[in-house]
Amino acid sequence: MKDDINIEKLAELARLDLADTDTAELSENIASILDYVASVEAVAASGEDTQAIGPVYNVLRADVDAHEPGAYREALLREAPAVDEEGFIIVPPIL
Amino acid sequence: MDITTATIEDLQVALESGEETAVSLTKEYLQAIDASEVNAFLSVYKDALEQAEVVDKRRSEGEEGPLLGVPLALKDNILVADKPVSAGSKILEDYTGTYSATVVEKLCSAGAVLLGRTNMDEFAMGSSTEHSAYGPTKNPHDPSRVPGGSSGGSAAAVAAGLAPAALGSDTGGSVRQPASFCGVVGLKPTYGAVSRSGLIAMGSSLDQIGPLTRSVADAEVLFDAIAGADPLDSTTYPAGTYPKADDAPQTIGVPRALLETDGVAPAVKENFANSLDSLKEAGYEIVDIELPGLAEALAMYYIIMPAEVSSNLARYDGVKYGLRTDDADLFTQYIHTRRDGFGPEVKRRLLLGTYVLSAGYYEAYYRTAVRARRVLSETLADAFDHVDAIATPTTPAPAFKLAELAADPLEMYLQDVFTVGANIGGNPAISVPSGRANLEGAALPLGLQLMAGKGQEATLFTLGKAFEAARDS
Repeated sequence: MKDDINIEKLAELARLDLADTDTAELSENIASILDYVASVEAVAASGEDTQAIGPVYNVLRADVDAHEPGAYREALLREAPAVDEEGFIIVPPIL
Repeated sequence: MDITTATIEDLQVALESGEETAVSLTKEYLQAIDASEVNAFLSVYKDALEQAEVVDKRRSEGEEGPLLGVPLALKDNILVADKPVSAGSKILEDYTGTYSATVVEKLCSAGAVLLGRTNMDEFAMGSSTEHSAYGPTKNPHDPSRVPGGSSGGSAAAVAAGLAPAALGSDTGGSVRQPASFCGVVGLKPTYGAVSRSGLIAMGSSLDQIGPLTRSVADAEVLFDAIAGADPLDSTTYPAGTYPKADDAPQTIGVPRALLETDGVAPAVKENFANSLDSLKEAGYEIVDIELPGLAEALAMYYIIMPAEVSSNLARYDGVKYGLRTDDADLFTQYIHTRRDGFGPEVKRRLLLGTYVLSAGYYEAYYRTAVRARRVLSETLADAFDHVDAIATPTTPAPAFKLAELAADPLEMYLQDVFTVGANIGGNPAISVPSGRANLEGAALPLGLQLMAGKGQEATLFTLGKAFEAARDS
C-alpha cells in the first residue's frame, strides 16, 4: 500500500511547497514509518469502532455569546499580517 | 540560600521567614539565566521583577500560599497575554499572546512569578529539543548531549537551577522523557485533568500540560494549582469523575515483555531492577503483568498524532497571524508561508498525517489506530483493577549526543516507547529520578516511570515520594 505514496499530491493537500526538499528521502522516511505503524492492525482486530476514550464527550455550552462581542478583536487583529483601515484582514486574490 | 537546588517548598520557607522575597529570588534566577549557556530560555519576560514586586505586596497584605512569590518558567507553547510565544517555530517568530492560558491565570492568581519561556522542539514535535527553530538546548549534566524533548528547555532550566520548576506539555512523553534525561521529576496528568485553553495544540486527543520539578512534592503543589474543570476546554472533567482509590497503594505491576524491546540499554535495565528493589524494601508488592497492545502504543501514536497535527496546524496559513510570505495569489502564499515557516520534522508529520487521513487510507490507518487505542485503553483500565500502578523505566537509554539520532526519524520516535502508553490511554504518569548511568565519563540521570489509573494522581504522588525516600536511604 505504501508503495504508492505520491509525495507531490500529499504536499498539495498539506499546503506545502517541497521544491527545496529532498522528496526521495522524505518518501523513504514516511514509508518506513508506515511500515512500523502497521502493527496496530493486530491489536485493533478485537476492538469496537469508536473514537471515545474517556467518560467525557460531546460537551456543549449554551448557545449564547461566550464573551462580549469584539472583546478580543483589537488584540487578534494586531497579530494579523495585513489589516486595512476598517479592520478587515487583507489577503491576495484567490484566483 | 542555594537557589540552584532549592525546591518550591524550600523557597516557601525562605519567603515566609523573610529570608528571601519574590524580588530577591527573581533577581537571582534572572542572573542565573543570563549566565547560563545551555540555551534553556528563549526569552525572559521583561516584567518579571514588576510581577515579583506585586506579589511581595500581596504577601505584605497578609496573603499566603504554596506558590506565592515562587518564580516559574513556561514552555514556549503556553500563551501569556501580551508576551511573545513561538512554539519553537519560525512561523510564530513575532507572535504575541492575545490572551493568557488558563494555567497561567491560575499560577498568577496563586502568586507565582513568571520568569520567561523555555525552548522546545518546534510545535512540541521531537524528543531532543534539536527541532527548535532557535537552536538546541544542551543537557546541563553533559553539554554534548540533548536534554530530551520536546519540553527540553523546561527540564534543562529546572536541572540547571534557572528556575525551581517549570510547566511543559506532554503528547507522547514530552514532559517525562526530558525530566528523565535531566534528572528532574515530570508529571503527565490524566487527560482532561488540566485545561489546555491557551496551549498551542499539537495532538488534541493526547496533549496535557504538566509540571517539571525537583521533587514529587513540588509536582503535587503545581498539579493542584493548575488542575480543574474549565469551561474554555471542554475535554476537562469535573471533580468526582474518577472516584479516588479507597486504600493506600500496595501493588505495582511490571510489564516485563516491554522491557525486552530492542534498544533498552543494559544500564537502564540494571537501574530499573534496583528501583524495583527499593520499592520492595519500602513495602510494596511487585508483580509481573501482561499488557497486550502496550508494545503497539507507539505505532498507534504515529498514526493518531500526525493525523491530529495535520488538522491542528492547518491554521498556520499566513492569513490571520504569524509569518506571511509576499505572493501574488492566495494558494501560493499558503504553500510558501508554510514552506518557510515550518521545519523538516513538522513537514514530515504534516505529510504523514495527511496520508493517514486521505481517501483510501483513512480506514486502513486512522480508523484502525483509533480502534486499537480503545482496546489498549480497556486493557489498561482492567490492569488497574489488579495493580495500583505500572512501573517501567522512563526511557530506553540515557541522554544521547546532539545529532546522534538526527539521521533516522524512527530512531528518535522510539524514545517514547515507555511513555506513550499513558497518552494513548489518557492515564497519568510520573517520571522520578532513579540514579545515574556512567557513560563516557559523564554521570547521566535515569528515571523511573509510574503510571496509574485515570484520575489517580494521588497514587503517583504517594508512590513517588516513597520511592524518593527509599532511593535516598
